[in-house]
Amino acid sequence: MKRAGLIATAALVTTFWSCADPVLSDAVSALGAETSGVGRGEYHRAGQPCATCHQEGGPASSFPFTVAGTVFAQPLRQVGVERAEVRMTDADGTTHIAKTNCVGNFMVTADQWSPRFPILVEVGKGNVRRSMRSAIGRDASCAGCHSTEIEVRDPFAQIGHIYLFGTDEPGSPEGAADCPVDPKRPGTQ
Amino acid sequence: MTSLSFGFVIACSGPEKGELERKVSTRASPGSFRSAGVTTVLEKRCGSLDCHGGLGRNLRIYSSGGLRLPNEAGLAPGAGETTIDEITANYQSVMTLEPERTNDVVDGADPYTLLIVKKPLEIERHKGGSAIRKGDDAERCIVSWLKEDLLNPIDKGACARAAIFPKE
Repeated sequence: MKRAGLIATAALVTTFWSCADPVLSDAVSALGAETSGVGRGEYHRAGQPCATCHQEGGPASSFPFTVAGTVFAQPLRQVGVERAEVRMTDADGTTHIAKTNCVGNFMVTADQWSPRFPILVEVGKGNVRRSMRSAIGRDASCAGCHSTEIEVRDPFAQIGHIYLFGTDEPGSPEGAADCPVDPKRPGTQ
Repeated sequence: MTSLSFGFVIACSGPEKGELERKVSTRASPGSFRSAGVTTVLEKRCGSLDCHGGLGRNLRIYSSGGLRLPNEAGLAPGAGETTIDEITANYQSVMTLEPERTNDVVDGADPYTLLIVKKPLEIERHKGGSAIRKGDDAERCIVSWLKEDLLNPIDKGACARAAIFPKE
């Protein structure tokens, strides 16, 4: 009886939430299921648009991000770059530097930095630096524009994933060896 | 003579019901849109992929750094320069956003009645926030283009400065 009640409550909550914002609901559904073996946390869903869930009204609204994304090593594979610096400057000239974890994820919360868009971005590690050619207009998720598909579905309206090096990361072609999860995004070669 | 008169009437008759005749003048001209760099200002300030470089936007802006017109040259976002066709598409996008009001502005009405000015200045609520600031070069560029005539030339200097975005 108790279990049935819980299930019914969960169904009601899901239905209500789905009805609340169908666009958001569809966007969340499109992200698919979690990767097997990678629990929810800083290492999950590398390359996906983080703020789809981590925003007000989203499934992870208790932990919203102001900016979040993933940095991979090279354009043809999706292996995360650990400890890359993501230097961001907002419209008021304030700067925040985030560092990626071993799957390449970085995330910024409001208490760390509440930027005013647009935001300029530079990513770097060691002597390698890459600046984003345009500004981030309004999307808190890098993957809102940067698609994880190696061959993007619509090459005129999408751009590939963020990468720092032209090739595999020197010295770490398969990513950080001590990463608690596989730094290679599932499905990448 | 009667058939000639009839032909003249047909040739000079107004648009059919439901059509909108676009006004043409020096104001908001396609030439200045390109040559003075109004398109570049809009591309840089408005045309990122997450803003008006998105397919879902009613005001759609194409640019080398954002949305591309389908092409056979392989020009993807971030590659090459904005093409003539994309500039033309941007012009059409701006001019057809509010065709009737735009016609009024071409006739001399206040440019600040247009969304292309009101939205980025946040005179009207804008999801993208304050894309341009009151009094800055981008505002001067766009407004001067909309008001351009023999006595009020477009502010090319403002357009050139506003096109440098992001500023290094």
